Amino acid sequence: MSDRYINDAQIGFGLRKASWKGYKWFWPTIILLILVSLIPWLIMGSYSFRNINYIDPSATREFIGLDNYRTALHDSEFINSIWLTAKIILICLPIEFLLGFLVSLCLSSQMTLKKWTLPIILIPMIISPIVVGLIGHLTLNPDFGLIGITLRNLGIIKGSILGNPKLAPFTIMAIDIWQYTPFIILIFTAGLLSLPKEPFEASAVDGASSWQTLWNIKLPLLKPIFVIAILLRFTDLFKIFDTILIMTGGGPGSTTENSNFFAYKINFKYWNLGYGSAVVMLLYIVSFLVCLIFVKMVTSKNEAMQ
Amino acid sequence: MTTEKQKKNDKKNLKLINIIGTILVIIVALISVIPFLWIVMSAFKDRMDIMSPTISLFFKPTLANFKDAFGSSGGFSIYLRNSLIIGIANVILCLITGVPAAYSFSRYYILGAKHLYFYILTTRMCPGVAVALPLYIWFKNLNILGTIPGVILAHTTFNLALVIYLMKSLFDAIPKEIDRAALVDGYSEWQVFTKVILPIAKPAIASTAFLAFIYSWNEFLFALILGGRAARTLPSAFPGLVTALGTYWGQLCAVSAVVAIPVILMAVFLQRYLVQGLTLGAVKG
Repeated sequence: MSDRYINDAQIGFGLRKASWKGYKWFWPTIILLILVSLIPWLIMGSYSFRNINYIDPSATREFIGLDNYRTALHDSEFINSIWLTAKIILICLPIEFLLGFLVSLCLSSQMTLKKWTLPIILIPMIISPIVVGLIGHLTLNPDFGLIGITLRNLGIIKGSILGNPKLAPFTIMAIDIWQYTPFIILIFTAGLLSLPKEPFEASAVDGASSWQTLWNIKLPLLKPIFVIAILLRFTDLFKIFDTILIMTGGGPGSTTENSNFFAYKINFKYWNLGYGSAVVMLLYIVSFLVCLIFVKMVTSKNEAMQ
Repeated sequence: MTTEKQKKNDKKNLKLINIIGTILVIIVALISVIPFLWIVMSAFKDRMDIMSPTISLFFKPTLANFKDAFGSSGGFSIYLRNSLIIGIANVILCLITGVPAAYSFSRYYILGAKHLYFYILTTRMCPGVAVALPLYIWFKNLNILGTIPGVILAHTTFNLALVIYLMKSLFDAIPKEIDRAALVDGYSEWQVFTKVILPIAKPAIASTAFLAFIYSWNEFLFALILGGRAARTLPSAFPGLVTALGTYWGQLCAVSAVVAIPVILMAVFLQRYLVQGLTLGAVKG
């Protein structure tokens, strides 16, 4: 008996050959994933080809082919929401990375500083996003909010900030930068501290300046972390929701509606689930493609390294 | 000689850079914490003080907001209970299914593992509504919409992946020789897992559990859409305090403090796991 186990185990632990054997302990996970992910997703897929609306009695649930998808691609609100999402990503991503990387360079070279300040810097990232939204909502209030009062006293902005269609989208970006720059700081500080020591000793012997060390050694070594950080930030920026809901509710007008919020509005405010399912499918396809591109980048990089 | 001078200059520069860096870090830390402290402070202010148009650090502290929210009239004690039940049950469910899966992920070369990883990744990546809408339709068919079990299941969509990838990288750190030695001693594979590996991994499992709990505790969208009235959690009850009649700032701040402060305390102890958890095990803390 025990012989067989050792033998089996050696095949398993040898990591040479792929097998179905590992699935033995995997089935609870598979069942759970089928239950909460695969089946619901298939049902929603079928909804996206139907005319389904929970509050419109004239919606007959009949099959209408690709009509919902066609509507989505011609819906200016949907297109605008994608534009806003793209703008949010293009503005927030570089700012968060620059600021975050700069701070993590400072933290990784001064351990006492890191010990005392990192837990404080992490606060915006770990508290519930809904609390972050409330923080934005209250502090930006022009009458009694911390930032609102300050801006008014300085004479920069007089009236409502969140109610101003020009400023509102930027408040969503600003709150995201406040919330997630700590994330960049956290993972780059960890990344910088986990770098191997040898290249730096060698470069010190060769008399490289700290700028050269940063540019020629640290950054290339951090590339894999950059890729994963961009992937995670990209997708999180793609799906901002909580802060928008509590701060502006998508308004004024629809100026702060990103694509995730637009999908929420169609489905859970207008209850147009047929059309909403098509919108969600389109968003899913976009995030799937982005994922695919990034994973390809990561794996090709790893192979290049080996 | 010139190199000596250069070195001295370099050292001077380094000192300057360090000072500038320290100032930058302190400014960032202050910006991170002050808005949050403002909310916590407001939780102890009465209505007049919250609406005061000047910035003042001095006010008469009151517990009225906490009493209004969590007292018998507020209903937040029920939401607190729901949050705790959902968080704990979800963590238990994810650990029971995820830990053995992570172990076999770590020990076996699994067919299709890459695809499974990709699948879990896309689930984490796609917009929240794209996960919540299919669940909404499915749960409506199953008649578990607006119930606590529904929200518990919904939270596994992100926490199961977290548990699997955190635990996998932690099991990877346990030498495989230990498993082999135990197998030679006549343990069955299941016994190796439960009697040898699990006791070693206990602290890591505890940290993973706390982190998964934080995610469930903080979660808003699924609880809002799938929880309805009966399974409302603390975060998903926030919009209820922003009404047409006005915003209950005091209560909102009090609930925020209750939601945020335990998480901050936990996170201080979990810093190392936080990095791994946030990056699906790709970056070691």
